[in-house]
Amino acid sequence: MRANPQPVISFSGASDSSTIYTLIMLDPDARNPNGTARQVLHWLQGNITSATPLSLPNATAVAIYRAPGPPPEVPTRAHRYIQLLFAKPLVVPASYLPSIQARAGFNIESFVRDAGLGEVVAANYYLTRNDSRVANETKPLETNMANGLSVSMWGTIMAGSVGLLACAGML
Amino acid sequence: MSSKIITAVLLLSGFGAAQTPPDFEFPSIVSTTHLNVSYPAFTTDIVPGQLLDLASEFSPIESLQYSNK
Repeated sequence: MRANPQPVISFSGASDSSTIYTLIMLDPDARNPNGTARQVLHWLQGNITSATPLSLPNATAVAIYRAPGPPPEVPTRAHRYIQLLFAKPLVVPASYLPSIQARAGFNIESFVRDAGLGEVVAANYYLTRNDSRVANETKPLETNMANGLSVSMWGTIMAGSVGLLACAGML
Repeated sequence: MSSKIITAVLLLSGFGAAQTPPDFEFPSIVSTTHLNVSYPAFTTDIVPGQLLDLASEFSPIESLQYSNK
C-alpha cells in the first residue's frame, strides 16, 4: 500500500460553509537519537474551506504533506499518525516557524494553544511501523554468533594445547 | 463511537501502551468526531487505529532522513 500522495480529508460535521479549517498531521511517537520523545510534524495546512471532501487545492500548506516514514527500531514499534482538524483559520506564531520547518521538535499542545486553534473538531489516526532493521540484523547476529563460537572453539583448542603441554612437562 | 475509540487510544495510549510510553496526551480530543481520511491508493477509508502495512514505502534513505531530522 502507498500513503502517497496526500489523503483526501472530509468529515460530516461541517455546519457552516463559511468556516475555515486547519489540518495537522503528526507522529507523536518519534524519538530523538538519545531516545527521548519528540513529535514530528507531517502536515500543517490552513485556509481549508468547508466542503466534502474538504477543499485543499486553495488551502495554504505551511508544511506540505509528508508520508509516514518511521525509522527501523529495535524492538520494532508502531508509530501513531494522527490527523487533527480545527475549525479555526491558521495563523502561525513566528516562534514556531523553526520547528515547523524542521518538522521535528514540534509541540502540538503548545502550538494549538499559541495559535488559538481551540478545540479539535474531528480526528483520526492510524499506525505503521518499519520492520526492516529486524530483517537486516538477522545476518549480523548469526555472524556474531558464529564468531563467538569460533572464538570459543579457539579458546578450547588453546586450553587443550596448554593442558597437553602441561601434561607433557609433567611427563 | 469512533471518537470514543480515538479518545481512548490517544489519551491512554491504548494500542501503544505495551510498546510506547504514553507521552502524548491531548485532552481536547475527548469531544471530537470522526475525520474521514482516504488515501487514493487504498480501497477503504482509514479506520481509527488501523495498522497499515507501508513497509514497501520505507526506503533506507527516507528512514535515515526521518531519524536524523
